[in-house]
Amino acid sequence: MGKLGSGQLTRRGFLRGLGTSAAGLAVVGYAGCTLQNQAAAKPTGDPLAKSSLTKHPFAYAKLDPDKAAERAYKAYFKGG
Amino acid sequence: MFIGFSGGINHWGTICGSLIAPVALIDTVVGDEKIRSEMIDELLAWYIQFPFPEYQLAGANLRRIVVGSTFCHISVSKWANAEGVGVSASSKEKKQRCAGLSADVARKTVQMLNAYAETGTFKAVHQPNASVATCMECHTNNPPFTQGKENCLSCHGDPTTVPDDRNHCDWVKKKP
Repeated sequence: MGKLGSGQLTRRGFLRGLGTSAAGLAVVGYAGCTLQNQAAAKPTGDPLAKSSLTKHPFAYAKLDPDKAAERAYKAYFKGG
Repeated sequence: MFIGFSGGINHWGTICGSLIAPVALIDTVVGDEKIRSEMIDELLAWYIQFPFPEYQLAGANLRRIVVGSTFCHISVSKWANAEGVGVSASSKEKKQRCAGLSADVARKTVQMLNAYAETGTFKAVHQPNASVATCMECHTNNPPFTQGKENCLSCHGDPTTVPDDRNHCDWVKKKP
Protein backbone atom coordinates (compact mmCIF):
# COMPACT_ATOMS: atom_id res chain seq x y z
CA MET A 1 0.00 0.00 0.00
CA GLY A 2 1.14 3.51 -0.68
CA LYS A 3 1.72 6.03 1.97
CA LEU A 4 -1.81 7.25 1.89
CA GLY A 5 -3.78 8.45 4.83
CA SER A 6 -5.00 6.24 7.62
CA GLY A 7 -7.61 8.56 9.11
CA GLN A 8 -11.18 7.68 9.90
CA LEU A 9 -13.11 9.15 7.02
CA THR A 10 -15.23 6.33 5.65
CA ARG A 11 -15.74 5.32 2.06
CA ARG A 12 -19.45 5.92 2.50
CA GLY A 13 -18.77 9.39 3.79
CA PHE A 14 -16.51 10.05 0.87
CA LEU A 15 -19.00 8.89 -1.70
CA ARG A 16 -21.81 10.79 -0.02
CA GLY A 17 -19.78 13.92 -0.40
CA LEU A 18 -19.19 13.34 -4.07
CA GLY A 19 -22.75 14.17 -4.91
CA THR A 20 -22.53 17.59 -3.30
CA SER A 21 -19.78 18.86 -5.55
CA ALA A 22 -20.52 22.03 -7.42
CA ALA A 23 -17.16 22.48 -9.10
CA GLY A 24 -17.83 19.64 -11.46
CA LEU A 25 -15.55 17.20 -9.76
CA ALA A 26 -16.34 13.96 -8.08
CA VAL A 27 -13.31 14.34 -5.91
CA VAL A 28 -14.63 17.57 -4.48
CA GLY A 29 -16.70 15.55 -2.11
CA TYR A 30 -13.77 14.14 -0.26
CA ALA A 31 -12.46 17.35 1.19
CA GLY A 32 -15.98 18.64 1.42
CA CYS A 33 -17.26 15.93 3.69
CA THR A 34 -14.07 15.93 5.67
CA LEU A 35 -14.44 19.55 6.57
CA GLN A 36 -18.14 19.14 7.18
CA ASN A 37 -17.38 16.39 9.63
CA GLN A 38 -14.86 18.56 11.38
CA ALA A 39 -17.32 21.38 11.66
CA ALA A 40 -19.93 19.03 13.08
CA ALA A 41 -17.61 17.66 15.74
CA LYS A 42 -18.56 18.51 19.30
CA PRO A 43 -16.34 21.21 20.77
CA THR A 44 -14.00 20.20 23.55
CA GLY A 45 -11.19 21.93 25.35
CA ASP A 46 -8.85 20.97 22.55
CA PRO A 47 -11.06 19.68 19.77
CA LEU A 48 -8.34 19.38 17.18
CA ALA A 49 -6.10 17.27 19.38
CA LYS A 50 -8.83 14.70 20.02
CA SER A 51 -10.23 14.45 16.54
CA SER A 52 -8.92 11.64 14.40
CA LEU A 53 -10.04 13.65 11.39
CA THR A 54 -7.24 16.09 12.02
CA LYS A 55 -4.57 13.47 11.44
CA HIS A 56 -2.87 14.06 8.16
CA PRO A 57 -2.93 12.35 5.78
CA PHE A 58 -6.57 11.35 5.77
CA ALA A 59 -7.82 7.96 4.67
CA TYR A 60 -8.13 7.16 1.01
CA ALA A 61 -10.14 4.23 -0.30
CA LYS A 62 -9.62 3.35 -3.94
CA LEU A 63 -12.33 4.72 -6.19
CA ASP A 64 -13.68 3.77 -9.58
CA PRO A 65 -12.18 6.31 -12.01
CA ASP A 66 -15.07 6.02 -14.44
CA LYS A 67 -17.66 6.55 -11.75
CA ALA A 68 -15.71 9.53 -10.48
CA ALA A 69 -15.74 10.95 -14.00
CA GLU A 70 -19.46 10.39 -14.34
CA ARG A 71 -20.16 12.09 -11.02
CA ALA A 72 -17.92 14.97 -11.95
CA TYR A 73 -19.69 15.47 -15.25
CA LYS A 74 -23.09 15.61 -13.60
CA ALA A 75 -21.90 17.75 -10.71
CA TYR A 76 -20.60 20.41 -13.07
CA PHE A 77 -24.12 21.39 -14.00
CA LYS A 78 -24.98 22.03 -10.36
CA GLY A 79 -22.61 24.91 -10.02
CA GLY A 80 -19.70 24.71 -12.44
CA MET B 1 -17.52 24.26 -0.76
CA PHE B 2 -15.76 24.62 -4.10
CA ILE B 3 -18.50 26.53 -5.90
CA GLY B 4 -16.47 29.72 -5.66
CA PHE B 5 -13.79 28.20 -7.87
CA SER B 6 -16.07 27.77 -10.86
CA GLY B 7 -15.05 29.65 -13.97
CA GLY B 8 -11.53 30.16 -12.69
CA ILE B 9 -12.63 31.51 -9.28
CA ASN B 10 -16.05 33.06 -9.55
CA HIS B 11 -15.64 33.46 -13.31
CA TRP B 12 -12.49 35.57 -13.12
CA GLY B 13 -10.83 33.16 -15.52
CA THR B 14 -7.82 32.37 -13.37
CA ILE B 15 -6.90 28.78 -12.45
CA CYS B 16 -9.29 26.23 -13.96
CA GLY B 17 -11.76 25.33 -11.24
CA SER B 18 -11.63 21.66 -12.15
CA LEU B 19 -8.15 21.46 -10.63
CA ILE B 20 -8.90 22.88 -7.22
CA ALA B 21 -10.68 19.96 -5.62
CA PRO B 22 -8.27 17.35 -6.98
CA VAL B 23 -5.32 19.29 -5.62
CA ALA B 24 -7.10 19.60 -2.28
CA LEU B 25 -7.76 15.86 -2.31
CA ILE B 26 -4.14 15.03 -3.11
CA ASP B 27 -3.01 17.39 -0.39
CA THR B 28 -5.37 15.70 2.02
CA VAL B 29 -4.61 12.04 1.46
CA VAL B 30 -0.98 11.84 0.30
CA GLY B 31 1.36 12.00 3.24
CA ASP B 32 4.69 12.02 1.45
CA GLU B 33 5.52 15.64 0.71
CA LYS B 34 7.73 14.89 -2.30
CA ILE B 35 5.20 12.58 -3.91
CA ARG B 36 2.39 14.99 -3.15
CA SER B 37 4.24 17.73 -4.99
CA GLU B 38 5.10 15.46 -7.91
CA MET B 39 1.51 14.28 -8.21
CA ILE B 40 0.18 17.82 -8.33
CA ASP B 41 2.79 18.74 -10.93
CA GLU B 42 1.80 15.70 -12.95
CA LEU B 43 -1.86 16.69 -12.84
CA LEU B 44 -1.22 20.23 -14.06
CA ALA B 45 1.38 19.22 -16.65
CA TRP B 46 -1.02 16.59 -17.96
CA TYR B 47 -3.80 19.17 -18.05
CA ILE B 48 -1.94 21.50 -20.38
CA GLN B 49 -1.21 18.65 -22.80
CA PHE B 50 -4.45 16.70 -22.77
CA PRO B 51 -7.02 17.14 -25.55
CA PHE B 52 -10.17 17.84 -23.56
CA PRO B 53 -12.86 16.67 -23.38
CA GLU B 54 -12.41 12.93 -23.64
CA TYR B 55 -15.49 12.30 -21.50
CA GLN B 56 -18.50 13.09 -23.64
CA LEU B 57 -22.05 11.93 -23.69
CA ALA B 58 -23.00 9.80 -26.66
CA GLY B 59 -23.59 11.94 -29.70
CA ALA B 60 -22.03 15.10 -28.29
CA ASN B 61 -19.12 14.99 -30.75
CA LEU B 62 -17.34 17.90 -29.10
CA ARG B 63 -14.04 18.84 -30.63
CA ARG B 64 -11.05 17.93 -28.45
CA ILE B 65 -8.44 20.67 -28.05
CA VAL B 66 -5.09 20.86 -26.26
CA VAL B 67 -5.22 24.25 -24.58
CA GLY B 68 -1.67 24.50 -23.24
CA SER B 69 -2.57 26.34 -20.06
CA THR B 70 -4.20 25.75 -16.71
CA PHE B 71 -5.89 29.15 -16.83
CA CYS B 72 -9.65 29.02 -17.30
CA HIS B 73 -9.57 32.08 -19.54
CA ILE B 74 -7.11 30.49 -21.94
CA SER B 75 -8.60 27.02 -21.70
CA VAL B 76 -12.10 28.20 -22.53
CA SER B 77 -11.04 30.79 -25.10
CA LYS B 78 -8.88 28.39 -27.07
CA TRP B 79 -11.59 25.78 -27.15
CA ALA B 80 -14.51 28.10 -27.84
CA ASN B 81 -12.69 29.89 -30.65
CA ALA B 82 -10.92 26.95 -32.20
CA GLU B 83 -11.52 26.23 -35.83
CA GLY B 84 -14.55 24.06 -36.14
CA VAL B 85 -15.90 24.98 -32.71
CA GLY B 86 -16.81 28.68 -32.66
CA VAL B 87 -19.31 28.74 -29.83
CA SER B 88 -19.88 31.25 -27.05
CA ALA B 89 -18.66 30.66 -23.53
CA SER B 90 -22.25 30.57 -22.38
CA SER B 91 -23.32 27.97 -24.90
CA LYS B 92 -24.61 24.52 -24.14
CA GLU B 93 -21.63 23.05 -25.96
CA LYS B 94 -19.16 24.94 -23.79
CA LYS B 95 -20.85 23.72 -20.64
CA GLN B 96 -20.70 20.18 -21.94
CA ARG B 97 -17.05 20.67 -22.73
CA CYS B 98 -16.15 21.97 -19.28
CA ALA B 99 -18.22 19.26 -17.62
CA GLY B 100 -16.34 16.70 -19.69
CA LEU B 101 -13.04 18.34 -18.82
CA SER B 102 -13.97 18.15 -15.14
CA ALA B 103 -14.74 14.47 -15.60
CA ASP B 104 -11.37 13.91 -17.26
CA VAL B 105 -9.54 15.68 -14.43
CA ALA B 106 -11.43 13.71 -11.79
CA ARG B 107 -10.64 10.44 -13.53
CA LYS B 108 -6.96 11.31 -13.89
CA THR B 109 -6.76 12.21 -10.22
CA VAL B 110 -8.40 9.00 -9.08
CA GLN B 111 -6.18 6.96 -11.39
CA MET B 112 -3.07 8.54 -9.86
CA LEU B 113 -4.25 8.03 -6.31
CA ASN B 114 -5.35 4.45 -6.96
CA ALA B 115 -2.00 3.60 -8.52
CA TYR B 116 -0.17 5.13 -5.60
CA ALA B 117 -2.36 3.27 -3.14
CA GLU B 118 -1.56 0.00 -4.91
CA THR B 119 2.16 0.41 -5.43
CA GLY B 120 3.35 2.94 -2.90
CA THR B 121 5.28 4.62 -5.66
CA PHE B 122 4.58 7.41 -8.08
CA LYS B 123 6.35 8.51 -11.23
CA ALA B 124 5.29 11.57 -13.19
CA VAL B 125 5.04 11.12 -16.93
CA HIS B 126 4.23 14.69 -17.93
CA GLN B 127 6.43 17.73 -17.59
CA PRO B 128 5.72 21.47 -17.62
CA ASN B 129 6.06 23.21 -20.95
CA ALA B 130 9.69 23.40 -22.05
CA SER B 131 9.53 27.19 -21.96
CA VAL B 132 9.45 27.09 -18.17
CA ALA B 133 12.97 25.75 -17.86
CA THR B 134 14.25 28.15 -20.49
CA CYS B 135 12.59 31.27 -19.11
CA MET B 136 13.01 30.57 -15.42
CA GLU B 137 16.69 29.87 -15.84
CA CYS B 138 17.12 33.64 -15.97
CA HIS B 139 13.96 35.17 -14.59
CA THR B 140 14.10 33.42 -11.25
CA ASN B 141 17.08 35.52 -10.19
CA ASN B 142 17.27 38.23 -12.82
CA PRO B 143 14.86 41.04 -13.67
CA PRO B 144 12.12 41.00 -14.56
CA PHE B 145 11.73 38.53 -11.68
CA THR B 146 8.96 36.01 -11.67
CA GLN B 147 7.99 32.53 -10.58
CA GLY B 148 5.81 29.72 -11.83
CA LYS B 149 5.54 26.53 -13.85
CA GLU B 150 2.70 27.61 -16.12
CA ASN B 151 3.34 27.62 -19.86
CA CYS B 152 5.19 30.94 -20.32
CA LEU B 153 4.33 31.13 -24.00
CA SER B 154 0.58 31.00 -23.52
CA CYS B 155 0.59 34.58 -22.21
CA HIS B 156 3.93 36.04 -23.25
CA GLY B 157 4.32 34.55 -26.69
CA ASP B 158 7.56 33.32 -28.17
CA PRO B 159 10.37 35.85 -27.43
CA THR B 160 12.19 34.79 -30.55
CA THR B 161 9.40 36.36 -32.58
CA VAL B 162 9.37 39.73 -30.80
CA PRO B 163 11.25 42.17 -33.08
CA ASP B 164 11.55 44.92 -30.46
CA ASP B 165 13.43 42.72 -28.05
CA ARG B 166 16.59 42.06 -30.01
CA ASN B 167 18.86 41.22 -27.10
CA HIS B 168 16.39 38.84 -25.58
CA CYS B 169 15.65 37.39 -28.94
CA ASP B 170 19.31 36.87 -29.77
CA TRP B 171 20.02 35.32 -26.42
CA VAL B 172 17.24 32.82 -26.76
CA LYS B 173 18.28 31.93 -30.29
CA LYS B 174 21.84 31.28 -29.16
CA LYS B 175 20.76 28.84 -26.51
CA PRO B 176 21.93 25.33 -27.36
